[in-house]
Formats: sequence, structure tokens, C-alpha cells
Amino acid sequence: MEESWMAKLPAIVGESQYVEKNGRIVVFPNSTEHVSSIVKLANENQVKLAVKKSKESVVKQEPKILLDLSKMDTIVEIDRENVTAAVMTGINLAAFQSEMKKRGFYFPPTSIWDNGSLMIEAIAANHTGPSSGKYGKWREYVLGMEVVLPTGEILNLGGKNIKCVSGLDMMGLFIGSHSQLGIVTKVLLRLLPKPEASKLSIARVNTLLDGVNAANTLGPRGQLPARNELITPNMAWEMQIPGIEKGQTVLLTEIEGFVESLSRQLAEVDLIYQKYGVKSQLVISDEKEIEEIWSRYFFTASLHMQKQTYNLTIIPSKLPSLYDAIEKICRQTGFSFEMIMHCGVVNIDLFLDSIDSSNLIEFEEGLFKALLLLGGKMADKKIGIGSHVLEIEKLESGLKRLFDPSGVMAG
Amino acid sequence: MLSSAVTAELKNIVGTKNIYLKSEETLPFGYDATLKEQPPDAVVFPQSTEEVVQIMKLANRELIPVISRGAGTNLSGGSVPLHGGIVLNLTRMNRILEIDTKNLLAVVEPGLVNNDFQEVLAPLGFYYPPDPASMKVCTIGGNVGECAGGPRCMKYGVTREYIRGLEVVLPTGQVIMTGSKNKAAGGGYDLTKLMIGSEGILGVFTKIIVSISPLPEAKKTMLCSFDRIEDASNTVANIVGEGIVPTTLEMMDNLLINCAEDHTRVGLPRDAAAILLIEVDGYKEDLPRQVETIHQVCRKNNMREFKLAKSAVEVDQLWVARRTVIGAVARKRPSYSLQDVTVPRNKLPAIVSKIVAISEKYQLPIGVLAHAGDGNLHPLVLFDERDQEEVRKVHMAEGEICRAALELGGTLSGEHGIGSLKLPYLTWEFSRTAIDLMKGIKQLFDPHNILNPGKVVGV
Repeated sequence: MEESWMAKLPAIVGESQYVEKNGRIVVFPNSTEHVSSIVKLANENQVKLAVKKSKESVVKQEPKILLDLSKMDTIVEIDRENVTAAVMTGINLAAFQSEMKKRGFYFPPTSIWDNGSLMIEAIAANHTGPSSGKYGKWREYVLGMEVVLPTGEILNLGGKNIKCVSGLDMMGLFIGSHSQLGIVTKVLLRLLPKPEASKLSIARVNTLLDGVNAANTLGPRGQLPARNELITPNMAWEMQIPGIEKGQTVLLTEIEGFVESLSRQLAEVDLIYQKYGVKSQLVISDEKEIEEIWSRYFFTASLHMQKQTYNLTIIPSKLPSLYDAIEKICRQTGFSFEMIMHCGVVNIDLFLDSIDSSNLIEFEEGLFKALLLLGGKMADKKIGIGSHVLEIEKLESGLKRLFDPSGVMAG
Repeated sequence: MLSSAVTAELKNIVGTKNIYLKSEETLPFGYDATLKEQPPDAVVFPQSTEEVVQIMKLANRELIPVISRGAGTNLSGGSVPLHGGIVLNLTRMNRILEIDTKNLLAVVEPGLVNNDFQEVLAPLGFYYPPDPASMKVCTIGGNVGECAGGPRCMKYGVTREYIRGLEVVLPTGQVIMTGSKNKAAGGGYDLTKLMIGSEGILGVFTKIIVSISPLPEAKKTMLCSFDRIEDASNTVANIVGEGIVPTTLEMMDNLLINCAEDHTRVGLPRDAAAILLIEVDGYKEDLPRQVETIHQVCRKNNMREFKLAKSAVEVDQLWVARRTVIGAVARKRPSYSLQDVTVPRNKLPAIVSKIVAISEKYQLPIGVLAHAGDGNLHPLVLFDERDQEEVRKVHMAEGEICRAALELGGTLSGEHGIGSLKLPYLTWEFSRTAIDLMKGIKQLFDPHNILNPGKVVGV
């Protein structure tokens, strides 16, 4: 493959900053200005472009240029007085989080999909994860951003202000829109003070449904754990969660905050759990040990992510019905499944086992129908009926044209 | 002026009891807290989504401006019908449609008053965290339109974080549902967030799905006075540095302390340069040590006096000054102009000294009220609106305050919005490209430019 526009790449990013791979050019920009120049080049030559994903082995769409931001991984500034950090989005998210902890700060947003990914991927996807219930998602943390628009222009939005309602909320549009409206290259993030202490309770539950009901009772009783994860037996076993035998469904409950109240909080959680037969096996207070459990959690999840996966959201009271529906559809189609449920937001990562792809359409139809009936949602999929769905699609394609008039962003 | 055919059709849609056409009736809907004023041609009070749809279709067909409005407590000219037209007053759509404590959500209509909602939630053990100072009268719909903050938002965040979904009537009369009852849901661009804080230029909210939270079990309220504003500001930064995120860190300067004391007689120190109202909440056993840490931080920063409220009555006493101070300034001068510039927290002393300089330059008393924890300031410029020369100076002072905030890395608006008041300054904060994109969004949603024309982005 040799096209005239390619000859311009060395002048933009330097000789060794791009490689040709499977008919695509992977470019490694060093700066926002590099990204801007590459996007302009793509625009001038009508070449499709996308941000490279770390986990996706096969790129479905047709981008000629893949931007790999991994060299843009600088922490530009940590502002102790305003408790903010300015970061280039090519940084590895998990590395950034552990660096913040070392410096006495806390940055909770992550998901099983983001672990091992670059920050830009996490911002572009805005996945729901274990900490979303208590701590929210990306929009709550991004105070400012530098974005390269699909035209190559650079846009600067926001600042170190916790409150800002000046103009329309364009930052909210760039977050979660899969880099279709622009490439976020730098962000100003709100940090939190690192919690003083935490306790992780490991409990076993008799049935998944008991666990669901137990966890759902916490919120209305004023308990909002930092993380509250319900895990099916096979995955729990692979995670080597201490105190747990093979075949047991596990409920992890992590509480963090000030030292004084932690034990009572945990006792209150236990009291609620007992009503549903959820038995605490072990409480871990050592920060390192807790971290190790979470890293095994993420590692195991990453192995399962290579299967057919779905991310589902539902309101707590409808969860038992959704669970019944999933079980039924799986029985009918001969699939077995594993799941991790982020109870704080009632968001489920569902992994299908023993895929017989001929039944997959039937499975998905059943799942969509159940979600539609129960008012649930699936990530990156519109579930709904009626004219308003079409109207929303019209608005979205209008926004896409507004931000990307020449359609240079792939996907 | 509306044609008689249009007014007849409006009457038909909402009923004769739900429309104002006479000038003495429409006059009160022509102004807000700013000096801008222009009465509408008609005020309608729809009572259902369907009525809003019909009104929007009529207006879109006849190209009549429509200004949706809640209680009109907005502070940047957003609800003033600059081009006349129809004021869509949503205060009669004020029902709570659903409270679902099991799922920690509620569905409400836009005209519901924030505090009325709180009073229904409290006996159930729940609350809706956004608490703008005008909560006793302002509506949830207005709160969403402005992305209202409030004293509590330092810890709990602004309105944006509590809105799960919206039923929106678009300017074309089409109804869309953005978001859902689910707390976290992906799928498509985040139109809910785009709607929040859009100041009524993109659509009319007819149903709002909000998150509610269980009430915290305990809180502690403190008041501390200082001889220097810098000491108060440093106290704010140091408290956060200690790993404590208070729900509230409110600051009042000497001018406002005296206004408040004249009005309330609660015993505020009249000669202090600044007071800080500090509140922490959470689990009861966690609070004493936090109070002690805060006390130490105040001491380290040369505090004068530190008071910890011992009873609910004392808590109310400490709060009453803060809640009423904006009204209390009327004792000094008949008019005030209120800004809501926001700066990074550590720039608070810098912006305050700039404001003092601006006050001296224009010979205008300026009181400073600040949500100090989040760097959001409310400089109150006091004047007499009958004095034209003074009004001219006020506008110049406003501009200089905005400029100063932006130079310190701040923003024009922390919570009141751009409206029409701050529109002239928009190019100071945003590039041409950014403004063009925002205008493009407005045109996409409202091709005939009938919803609150001329506001926020100036289309």
C-alpha cells in the first residue's frame, strides 16, 4: 500500500512514529498538535480514521489510519490545592489510578472493559463498572478537556472549576460517544482525597437471587458501598477469592471512608445480608490484600471478555425478573452464562459460554424482548420502540454531521 | 402581537383559565433578577405533555418565540422574553408522578418546587441533594434547565448528577425520552446531559426522572470568623487538604455580614472580615474528629471565633443569615446585580482582591458571598437602578469581574447560566469554533429558532 498522503506522515510525526499493519497505518502521535495534523491530513485525503483500541483484535470498520495515543501518557500537572490532575489521555488508566493512590489521591472510575486500556478509550466508552454506583462515571470527573475535532481543529473546554454551566455541555457529548465527535487528547480531572480506610467483606450466597435481593436492600437503608459485586461461582473460583469454596456464588462488599464508622457500617450490612441468608466468610482490612483481590477480579474478567458479552442495566426491583428471563432464554438456547453484577448501579456484565452461534439470534431476540418489557438497557444498543427512537437517531446523526462534516471518523 | 386566530387556538389548547393576555397579567412574566425587561404577548399554563406539544406545534408553524419558565428565579435574563411571544409557564405541571424508594428514584413534573419535593421526601427518610438557595420557590424544571448547584454541591455535586432521564418536547412538537429510569445506561450520545443546563433553548422538559438519596444520619454545623479574607480562603483549601469534603463551605464578607446582621440579629461579628459557614455530614461517629480537624485548621489560619451548633435551633440560626442575606442587602441600596463567576478554589483570594479593586474603581459597594468550597462567587454589586449613570457603571463592573475570573482560569457561570446577561462575554471564554458548534446544536434542535431565541449562544 502506497498512497501519496502517506508520504506526509514522517513530516508530521517523525519517521519511526508509524507502522503499517494489515493494510492499516498505526500512527503514534506525541502531542495534541500531532493528532490535529493527522486528522487534517485524513480530511484532505478523505481517509477514514479511528482511535486504536487495546482490546479489539479485529477492527470491524474500515479506518485506514489508527491513532495509537500510548505515547501521549504524561501526567501534566497535579494541583494539590484544587485537587485536580491534568493528564494526556494516552496514559494507561490503571497506571494513572495507582499513581494517584501513591500520591494520596483517589480516582475511582473504571470498568472491566477499561482495565489495561488507555484513558482515552475509557472516556470514549464511558462504561459502567464496580465503582459507578457510589462514585459515578466520567462526566462527574472531567472538569476540562482538550479535543481534536474531526476537522482537525483543537477545542479547549472547561477548567479547574468544579461548577461550570457556561454555554452548552459539550464535554458531556464528547464523553461516551466513542470518539465519533472528537478525539479527547487531554483532560483536567477532579480527584478525590484517598479514603482513610477500607474493609472488604467476602460473603457467600445460596442463590444469585438471594444475593441480588440482599444487595438491593442496602441502598434504600442508607448503605452505599464503594463496590458491591455479585459474582457467579465459576468466575468467583477463578478469581481465587479467599474463604470461598468451589461452586459458591460470591458477594463482595467494600466499604471505605473514615475509620470510626467502618465496623458499624459493616455490621449493618451484615444484618441486612443475614435476612437473605448471605453469610459473611471473611473481612479483609489490609489495603494490599484488597488490591490483590481486585486485580484478580479484573484479570479473570478479562479472560471472559473474549466470549460473547453483554452489558445490561436495569432498575433494582426489576432485576429478579430479568435474571429469570436470562436463565430461561439460556435454557431454551442451550447456553450457559457467567455474570458479574455491579449492584450499586444494577449493571450486569453477562458472559455467554459454549456458544453455538446458530442459537445466538434467538438468544439476543429473547434478551432484547425481556429488556424492553422491563425497561432495561444494553450498552451501545438502542432498545425502544416508537417515533421518539427515530427522532433521537435523527438528532444523533445531525450531531455527527455537525461535528464531523466530512465523515472522517470511522465507526 | 399575536393574531386573534393564534390566541383563540391557544385558549383552545389550555382552556381560558390557563392563559393570560392582558398587559397587567403578562407584565410579571417579563422580568427576572436582572435589569432586563420585556413582557410577553401571552402566558400559558399547560397541564400536560400533550398541551405542551400542541403549543409547540402552533408556535413552530406560526414562528412565535416560546420561553419556558418555572418560578422565574433565574439570575441571568434567561426567562425574559426579549422578543415577546409566548411564556410557557410550567408551574401548573407540578405533580410528583412516582416516588420509588426501592430504586432510589422519583419521576416529577417540571413545575414542582424543589422544597415541596424535599418536604415530601424527608418523612420517607430521603432527599434530593441539589439545594439552590432559592429552593423554597424555584422549580425542578428550572433547576435542570440551569443545572443548578447549591451549598451542598461541594460534596454531592450539581443537578446533572441527579438526573437519570427526561421527557422532552422538542421545538418541532416531537416528544423524545432521553435516558431512562436506570442510574447508568449507555447507548448513543448523552442527550440528557446536553439538555441539562441548556437554559430552555433546546427543548421543554415535561417529565424528569431524578435520583434520590437516603438522608445522612448526622451533620455538624460550624461558623468561624476571620480578620482577613485570605485566612478564610486558606482555611477552605486546607480543610480539603486534610481529606475532608464538607457538604458546605460558605463565605460572607464584611459588607454582607453587616447586611445579614441588620436583618437577622443572630449575633454575627460585625467587625470580622469574613465568616465561613461549614457543614459536614455522614456517619455520627465519624463527625467529632472531622470537627476537631476543621477547628485546628481554622486555628492555624488565625481564626477569631469558632462556633459549633449544639442544637437544631442553633443550626437554623447559623443558616438563616446565609439564606436571607441576598434579600437583606436591600437595606443598603435598592438594587443589586448578582454574578456567579467561578474560579479554581485556590484563586479565591486573588479574585476577592480584584473585586475589592473593582469596587473602589467604580465607587460601588460590592459584597462577596461565595460557595467557597467550589470557588463559586456571588459578588453582589449594590446600586440604585433609577440612577442611569450608576447602572452604566454596574455593567462595566460586571464585565470586569467576568474578565478577572476568566484570567484566573475561571468560568463566567458556575450555576446561573449565560442567559442574555452574560452573552456579550461568551467570546471571552469560548473560541469561535466552540461557539459555532453550540450554535449548530441549537439550529439542529430548533430549526425555526422559536425556543428562547437569542439566549445562551445568541441564535
